[in-house]
Order: sequence, then structure tokens, then C-alpha cells
Amino acid sequence: MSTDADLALLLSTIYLSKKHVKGRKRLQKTVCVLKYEYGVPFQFQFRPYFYGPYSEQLAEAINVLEAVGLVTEVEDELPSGVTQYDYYLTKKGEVVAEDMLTKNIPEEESISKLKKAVPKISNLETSELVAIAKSVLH
Amino acid sequence: MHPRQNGIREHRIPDPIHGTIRPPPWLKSIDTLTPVRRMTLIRQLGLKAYIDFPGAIHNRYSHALGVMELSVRLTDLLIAKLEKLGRPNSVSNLKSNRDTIAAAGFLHDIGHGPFSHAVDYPLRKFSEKTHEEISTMIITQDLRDLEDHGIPIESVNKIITGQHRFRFVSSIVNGPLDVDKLDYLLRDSHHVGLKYALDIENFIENLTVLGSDPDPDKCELGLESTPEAVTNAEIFLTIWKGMYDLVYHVENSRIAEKMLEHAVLAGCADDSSLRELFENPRMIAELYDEKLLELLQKAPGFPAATANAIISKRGLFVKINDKELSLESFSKISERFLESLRGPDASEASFELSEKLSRELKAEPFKIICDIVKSRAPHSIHVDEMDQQGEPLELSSKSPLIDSIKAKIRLKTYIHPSLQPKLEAGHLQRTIEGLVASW
Repeated sequence: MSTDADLALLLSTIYLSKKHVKGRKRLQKTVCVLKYEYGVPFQFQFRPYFYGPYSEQLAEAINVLEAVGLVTEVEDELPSGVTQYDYYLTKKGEVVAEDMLTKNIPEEESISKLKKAVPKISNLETSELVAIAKSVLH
Repeated sequence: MHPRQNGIREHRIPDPIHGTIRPPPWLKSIDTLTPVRRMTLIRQLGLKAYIDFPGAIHNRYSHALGVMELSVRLTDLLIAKLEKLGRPNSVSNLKSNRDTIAAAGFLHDIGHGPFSHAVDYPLRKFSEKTHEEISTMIITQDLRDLEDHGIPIESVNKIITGQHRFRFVSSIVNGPLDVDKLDYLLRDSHHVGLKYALDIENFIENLTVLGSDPDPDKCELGLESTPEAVTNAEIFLTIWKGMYDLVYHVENSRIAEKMLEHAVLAGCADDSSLRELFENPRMIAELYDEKLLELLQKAPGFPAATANAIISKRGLFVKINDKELSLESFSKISERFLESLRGPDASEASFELSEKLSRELKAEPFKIICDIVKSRAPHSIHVDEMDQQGEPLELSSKSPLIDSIKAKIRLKTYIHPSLQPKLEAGHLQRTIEGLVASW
């Protein structure tokens, strides 16, 4: 597959996660687990971090999706007072993601892996996801 | 300047931003070498002094000294702070890397091509190396003398490329709140004549090492969790945004820099000697601003015309189109085009789009330049405070100002003045939209 298909996979990941991912941390850990545990061919480089795997390239990629209007970032004030940043597909983002999933872009095998893995990951608590992400990278 | 102190001359360098810089002994051993002296011949702000900011004639060498000075100040401050907090591992790592961090600060940009970022793309395209990679090549091949001063070359290179084992060590020179940014923002604003003020001493007082002392390889440079630290970071980021919007991306200089970039690409396509030069990182490492302009003046056609336009300020391209690159303005953006926008800049996509647009509009090559301008936004700045799941808080959760500095992408088109009467703006926009949709 092409090495430059990360944005297509990322957009599909959000679509398959019921069109939103709650929290920057959850997004980082989701993509890390998809890459290392399920073999989804993301090219993002993750580094071990005090708080679990983190990829600056992924943070940059989500900025690009937001800048072009496919994703929107919504602030969510949690009961603890902490602000969480959630990612939602915009209407146009949904249309693009549906189109890519229908046409198996970037390729059938990686879309198939995503379709199997994302629902499993979506059911995990964030703390469980963090623990798995830490274990797969270390 | 050599003031006497106890009968011994102490070398001091006056600096407009940091007052006085006292060069360390290791600097003397490399200061007269050609790659170091070359930094005095490369303007920090590319073509800004030729077009919009006549005061911006400062060079990479003065920036290098500034980053070195701030590296030392920040390292010493962190050592003192962490000693008080009882964090012996972090203190020991910083103490043992003190000179290495300073050397990395001084040398981080030694591989820049002429006119700094203006030729980053041709340099990357033909030599297949980034300016950081050329920096590490020069350091490895030419600056081995540093090891006589107990400075390991490999560690210097790892700090410059952000790959040092201890990330908080790398982050002093290469991180979200690094001393490189601190120096260039204040030095550049001073020289262009914008009197932005950030109290550097006060600012770096707010930095600390996040994480656990027994686990230093996962520690990170971040902000203290105090209202003062948050406000200082807001000032820093506001100046950062101001400098990008009002200086680094300012229109006429940007047009001249894109013309220079395309002139080098055109020159390399037609002139094998220029191409061989750009393909060879060793030869790039000997190029400087005036030399590049001279070479371009000798290359007939667009390269020579561009060099002359830069010098005379006559014949610069004109902007004909400027739109935000989003689905609000473009009905469709293909996923391949979207991918091409990733990375620190989008020069390759800009160049390809320029070529395709010229063909579609049947214009001569190098008469149309597309420029995808990405505004910079901080990815992540962490504060020394945990949320309920043990994650560090993002600065944005403490300051609404941070998230208002969102990344934006604009697509601009510049054309040769002779094309102005012939091109209809609506047709041009529709053609661009078609290319972006079918990329």
C-alpha cells in the first residue's frame, strides 16, 4: 500500500468509531493500538512517553483534517472540571469517509482490518486502552 | 570585546537580545572553521531584508550564539530547580550534557542552505537531505574537535534531530517550548522592527521537567502549573502567531521567496552544474546567499530574471488568488491531495500544483506559482499537573487562547505580471478546484 494513506485511514477510524472519538488521548491510543496490535498500516511514528505512546505526526494529521473541514474539535467540560477535546466528523467528513470505505481506499486489506478492530477498541474504557497501548509499544 | 579580568582577557560578545554572551572554550576550537563562518553569510530571514524589512540583515551565526546562550541559561536553571526538588537523576543527566546541549544549540542550523528556509524544498528534493540532516553531516565530518572538549558528536546530533535518549534534554533545543523558538522570535522581531517583548528570564523560570525522576527517559520539558506560567506561555504563543502572520508569511517577501525556490528548481532542471551542486550535500554546505544569487544570475531565463527581480525589486510576481484550503471553499479535495498537505510545509504539493496549473492554462513554465501556506499551531504543550487518569494536562485546558490559534491552510496563486491581463480569476479558481478534486 501507499505509505501516504494515513489521513484516509484516520478519517475512516473516526467514522467507524461512531463518527467521533472522545479525547485527544483516546485518539492517540486508539491509533497506536490499531497499528501495533491489529496491524493497520498507519505510518505514524509513536514514541514511549511518560503517559503512554504519543505521536506528533498524528497530532499534525488531525490538525490537517480539522483545517480542511473534515473533522471538528469540540471542547467537553467533564464533571471533574477537566476539559476534554472530542473529535467529530463534519457532514462533509462523513461523506468523504463513506466514499472511501465503500471504495476500499486506501486498500481493501487495511479497511477490512479497521472494520474488525475499531468496534472492539470502541468498547474499551479509555484506561484499558491506555494500558494496552503502553503494553504494545514497550 | 575583551575586558580584562584579573589580568586575563575574557572574551565577551555583545548581543542585542541577550546582552553579553560569554563563549565557552569549545567554541574557540571551531569558531574559525569554514562551516561555522558560513553561518555569517546566510541571512536568518531569507529575502525579508530585500523586500519588506530592510532591518532584517541578521544572520544564522547571531541566532546560533543566541540559542547557545539560552541553552546554557535554561540548563543551569533546570539544574538548580531540580536540585531543590530532590531529583538527582534529572540533575545528573543535565549536568553531564550541559556542554553538549549548548553545542547542539549553537550548531542546530549549521546545515541551512542559502537564504535559510527559502531553498529548503529544492535542497531536500535534489540532495534528499533535510537541513537538519546536512547539519549532522557537517558536525560529524568537520567538527570532530568538539570531542576533545568532552562533547560527543553523536549526542549533539541526537539533540538536534530530537532523538536523544532523554527527551527532556532534546526538548531544550528541539521541542514545543525550545530555546530555538525563544531566540528566533525575539531576534527576528527586534531586527524587523516590531517591538514585541517577552521577558526571557521570567519565561524560562516557568519551565520544568515533567515526569518521574527514576524514569528519566520518559520525562518531558513542560510548563509549571501556575497562573503566571500559563500567562507567560500565552504571551509567547501570541508573539509566535504574530511573527508568522506579520513577518514570516508576509506577502511580498513570501512571493520573492517562492520565486527563488522555483528559480532554483528551474535552474537545476536546465543547468547540470547547478543541479550537481544541489545534489551534493558537501557542495551545498559551501553555498551562501550572495553566491546563490550570483549563480542564478548566470543561469539564463527564469533563474536570472528572478535574481534580478529580487535585487531590483522590479518584476516580482503578483498575487491573483487567495483562498482558505477547506471544504467550505473547495467542493472536493481528493484524499491524495490531502495527504500531500502533511508535513512541516507543503512545498512539493505547491510545486506540482504550479506545474499542473501552468499546463492546464497553457502558460509558459515558471510563470505561475501556487503556494500552500500552512499556519503553525502548537501540537501539544504539557503542564505539570495530572488529570484523573494520570495524563498531563494540555496547556489548552488552562487557556482558551491556545485553541483559538488553530491551524489554517491557505492556497495562494502568484503570476508573472505579463500574465495579469490574460488570466481571468474565476477561470483560474475553477481550474485549481478541478486539479485539487482530481489529484
